[in-house]
Amino acid sequence: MTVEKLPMRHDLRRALTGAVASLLWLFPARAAGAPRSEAAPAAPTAPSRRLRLLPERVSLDGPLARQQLIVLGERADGSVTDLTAQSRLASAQPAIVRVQGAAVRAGTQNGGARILVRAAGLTAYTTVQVTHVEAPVFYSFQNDVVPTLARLGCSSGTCHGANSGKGGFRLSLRGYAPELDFLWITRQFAGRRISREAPEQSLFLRKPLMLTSHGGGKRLTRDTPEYDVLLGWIQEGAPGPDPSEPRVTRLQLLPAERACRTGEAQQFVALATYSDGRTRDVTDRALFQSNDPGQASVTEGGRVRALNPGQTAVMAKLSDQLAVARIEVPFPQTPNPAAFPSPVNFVDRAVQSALRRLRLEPGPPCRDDEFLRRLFLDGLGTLPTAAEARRFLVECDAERTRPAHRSPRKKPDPTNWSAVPVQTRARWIEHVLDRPERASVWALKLSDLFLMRKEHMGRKNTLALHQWLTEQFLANRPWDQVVTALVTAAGAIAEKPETLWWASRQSTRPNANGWVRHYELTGEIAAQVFVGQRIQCARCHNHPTERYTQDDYYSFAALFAQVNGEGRANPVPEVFSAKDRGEVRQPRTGQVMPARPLDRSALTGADGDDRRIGFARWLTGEGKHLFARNIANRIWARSFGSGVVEPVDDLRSTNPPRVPDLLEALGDDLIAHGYDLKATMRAIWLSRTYQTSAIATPANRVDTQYFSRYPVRRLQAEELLDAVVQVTGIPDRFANYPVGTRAQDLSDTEIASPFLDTFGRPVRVMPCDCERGSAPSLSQALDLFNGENLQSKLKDPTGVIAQLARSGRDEASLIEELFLTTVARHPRPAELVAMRSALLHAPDREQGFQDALWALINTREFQFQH
Amino acid sequence: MLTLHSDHSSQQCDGTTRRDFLRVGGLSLLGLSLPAVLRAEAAAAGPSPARGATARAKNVLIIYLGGGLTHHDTFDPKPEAPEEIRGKYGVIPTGVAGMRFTEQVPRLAACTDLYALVRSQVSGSDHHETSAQWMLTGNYGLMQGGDFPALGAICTHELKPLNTLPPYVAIPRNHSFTWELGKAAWLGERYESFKAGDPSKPDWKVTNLALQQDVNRARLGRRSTLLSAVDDLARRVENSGDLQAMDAFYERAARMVLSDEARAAFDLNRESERTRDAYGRADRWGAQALLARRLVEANVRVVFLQYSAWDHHAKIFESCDRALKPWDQAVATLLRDMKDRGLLDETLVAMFGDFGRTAKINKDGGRDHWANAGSMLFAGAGVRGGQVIGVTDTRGEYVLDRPVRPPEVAATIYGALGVDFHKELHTPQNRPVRILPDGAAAIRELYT
Repeated sequence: MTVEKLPMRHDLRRALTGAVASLLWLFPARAAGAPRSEAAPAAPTAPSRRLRLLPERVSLDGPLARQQLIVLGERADGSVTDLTAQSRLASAQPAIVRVQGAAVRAGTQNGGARILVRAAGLTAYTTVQVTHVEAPVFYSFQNDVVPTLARLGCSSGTCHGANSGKGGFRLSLRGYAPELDFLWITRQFAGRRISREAPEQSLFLRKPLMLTSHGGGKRLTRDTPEYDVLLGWIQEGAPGPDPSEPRVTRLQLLPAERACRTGEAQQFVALATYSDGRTRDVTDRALFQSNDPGQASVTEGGRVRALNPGQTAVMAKLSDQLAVARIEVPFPQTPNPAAFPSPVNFVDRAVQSALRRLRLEPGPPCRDDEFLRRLFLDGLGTLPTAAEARRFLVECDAERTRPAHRSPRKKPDPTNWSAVPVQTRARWIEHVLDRPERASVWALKLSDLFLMRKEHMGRKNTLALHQWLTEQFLANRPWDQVVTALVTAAGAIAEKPETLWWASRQSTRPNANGWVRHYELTGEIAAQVFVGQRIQCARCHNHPTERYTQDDYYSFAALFAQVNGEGRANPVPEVFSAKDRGEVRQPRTGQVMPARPLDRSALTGADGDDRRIGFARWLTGEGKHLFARNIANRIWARSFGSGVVEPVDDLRSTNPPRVPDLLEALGDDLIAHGYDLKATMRAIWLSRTYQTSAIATPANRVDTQYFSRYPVRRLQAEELLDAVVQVTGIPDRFANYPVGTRAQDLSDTEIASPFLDTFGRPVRVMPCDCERGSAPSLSQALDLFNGENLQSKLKDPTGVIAQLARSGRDEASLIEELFLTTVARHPRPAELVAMRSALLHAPDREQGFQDALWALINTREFQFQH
Repeated sequence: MLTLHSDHSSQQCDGTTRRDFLRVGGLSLLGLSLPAVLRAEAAAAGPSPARGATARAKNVLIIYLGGGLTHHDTFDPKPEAPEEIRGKYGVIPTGVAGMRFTEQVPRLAACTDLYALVRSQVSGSDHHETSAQWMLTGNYGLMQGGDFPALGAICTHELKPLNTLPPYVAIPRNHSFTWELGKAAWLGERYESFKAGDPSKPDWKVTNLALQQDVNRARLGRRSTLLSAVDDLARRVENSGDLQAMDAFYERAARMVLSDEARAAFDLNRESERTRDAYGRADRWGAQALLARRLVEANVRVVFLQYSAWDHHAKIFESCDRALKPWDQAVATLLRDMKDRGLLDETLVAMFGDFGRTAKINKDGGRDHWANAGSMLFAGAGVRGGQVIGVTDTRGEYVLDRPVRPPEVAATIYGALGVDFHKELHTPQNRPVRILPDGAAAIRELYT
């Protein structure tokens, strides 16, 4: 879809300066048609060809029913513009349907009425059905009053929705607990907030009207729909929430997606469907929120303005339902179609299609050496050795000089995809997939997320669980089997180390025998790590940006509440089993919650069965898309430094992927391969998207998010330490571990290492990827720039430098060796000159080489993945 | 309301974003001087909030008595109580009429004009980690687990750095009982304390700050030249905040290592023998307190000095016979020295610990954890010395008047520095969190 470059205001300005401005001025609705006669490039202000009305069918139910219409002008190229504000409506039967701006309201009679809509010189018709105008007006506490209080901000976290309320008056945060709100409004403060005798004198109204002093200021105005709701409800006698009233069962945002120019605005409409089948315009009730306020803003009334190029989503929420609309804002440039290489697989197809829509251009291929280093670090967490780098580069050159690749006379152009040695790269991808270090990478990742530290479970148990995890990845056991083994683990820890997944001192379960992790925390870990859902919010109140309620939270936790321990193998139990009744009460309501997954689907199996088995079945059954996309996104993030969805463990429906379709495709591919994680890694690494250069080009320098170029990032703490150890040949020592143990193979984050702490090793108290720090700091710079640890490694008589200096090889070959060791490439001529000059000025050869390696280690090229 | 996100794209009220700072920082490689980088960083740190009546401190020195000081045997003796409560120490008068200390803290008793004593600490938890977490974050009632940024980290996040020195220094390191507290938590490593180590050790030197023995200035210069010849990634890759931030930090690191400012601040050899004797050499406190003063003098924003040796569940008098006098000497000398150098005008000194200790001496001759009473000391930056706030009962068990809880201690520190503690920060999971809970306020009486 193409979208214009100029801001919309331009339409008007042109219209005004046009010859017929004076006439058009009276009819701004037609102004957009004016520039038609101009010879300028058509796209930015191309006229609309046709009007489209949303919602497509309108029905008004009840005397107060109202529906805002969205009037879109469709252009020839399929793009649209919002004509809502400049449209004129007319009703054929005002007794049935009245018009009010761009909205329609129920009149005094039931029936159908035709509505004529005019905008931009075009017309369209819609038919509106009106029913139940004779029904008495009724304001419901939970469907009208509670959302109104949320919308007015009364129940927000900074006002009465705060945990301790404000000014002695508390409301549940954004109305998650209507029954409590009702008590607090009508009973607390001796019932003085509501006056049934003189409703208009109620403190409940006088305060927000600022007729009585109110710390929150003036929030409410007379003769507004909000005032009518609150007053009307008191006039009815302030009835409480009634469970038999219809509930919101679905929320919809219209239009569902929208491509905008920067600066362009679009009105959205929120439609709610209730359990009695009615639909209702709730644009004036729902809470709107932009997923990235830097990208697009949204007003309380649902008017969205695109602020910056890129894509984001706007969310509407009402009760426990929510709806999302995607906003796409292309960059103001025209990409060169020739810059798009032919896609290798579904990864490239999805990314390229997104780049085209956003008008970004993919970069050229990365160099061979860059590819190798990238592949080794992402796949294995380790640098290629000089020997590996040399061998790979030779193989690449060999492939490139084969006739199939090029005509012998022409020098291959490194910026051209046709010069990429595809077969060699593919062969080395297979090599990396088969190397054992791949298992360490993923065991480390999971050890972080499973909060494995001595304090939580004892060091020897972290070792055992870490070992088990490593073995699973070594064997490339399918992901569904690994997770099933963990979440359903039962038996003796000595025989089944996976049972240790259930062990933790952290929030030990009340009355459990020994250190059994609390089901609340287990639920949070399972949700965040296996299906990318952050449910912590819902422990205390409705999730603000997902449909989870407290009921959902405790129902999910109940899946994990049957586990108990027997015996005591210091400090954790000897045996874990799921024998408890596992009764979990929702603390607010006191209700015992039925165990069920987050999508509220019923659990298969009888009462008293091990619920965890049902959960594991759900993961590969109804939950399979979330389950597969979650791990696929994590593999993507490992390879690109950030996920297709970011944050990587936040797959909530209101946080859409940066590249639509890509996450879906990755998930489907993983399922099709029977959860073989290697298959996903292979697909990603083979893609041209992955093999794109990190260096900015004029057409992608603005992109930091959509994978038009490879994102750079600092190596993780453990990777960096292992890399320093590898290139200097001198290991760090870790207490109680054999000399030579790699930092990436430590099972426990409490093993002392100032280096790892300085470079952001996570403390493992939250099951969140965000715990791992990748941001640079002063201490990190000091550590490498002037660090004693590094200097002692450089000058160690058994280290790499001492060996090289003694080897008798000539200077150039030694310099080359250092470059290949650290950055997997040959030195450039200027670098060779600089190095030789430094060697010349050094007091002795060994010191000179120490300085050379010091410099290479201190380059961003060494410390960053690129 | 002004909100600051802890992520990189946070918008400040002057329109710059943290990413802008990082971008500006990256220019250093292209010739932007360090002062310009610091200016940009200062802008990124946001403008100073309106300074209230109590906000007159440039620096804060927190002396943390980890483990929990026995208030009975120091600042709040109960000589009329039975022996199993009053303990073995006699009492002496102090500069404040009617206020008596034990004979173990004679020097602090003699300089009460320099500080205000609070005898009514109520930390609210008998558990070390929980209580320390509350005292060091002000977040009373917060769950344990070290998941909230400590006072020093928040100050570093909220305030401009004053020079090339690290803005938050811990001596010898953050407080730690079973796990380390006083960390930056989700604010990130950038706001974490710089660990000075223990200056009382003979071979002490600050990690990575002093030049290595075999890497002198000239050699480090050669290395840097070589580095710039082979390091061009940051120039070729645009729009990477982390790459460019690393540049800025390298420049600061180089500045710290090559300039005298930082090294001088950490160099205790620049002090006379007489001064070192005055602070005391018998225990480690002397050298640590002296280093703290030097760092305050060098304008480090937050100096965190840890005196953790007070968890005396057994044989408390044997330990106190050894520990109290050197501590008394170091702290009293520190306060006097700071006063003489004019440092108390713009530095708030706050001394407190996890909690007090039980009134009744237990069967092992010790005192146990006691969260209902304890003593704290505040000095400088407008605090009126020569006064005592709060009263405990005749057994020293419960506070009879003016209980002071962790949020008030934190609010006093934030208030002194002008940190707006009502502000909301955002966790990486984007949860809005107020720096201090609603209703937190500084200890007014300190200033009246």
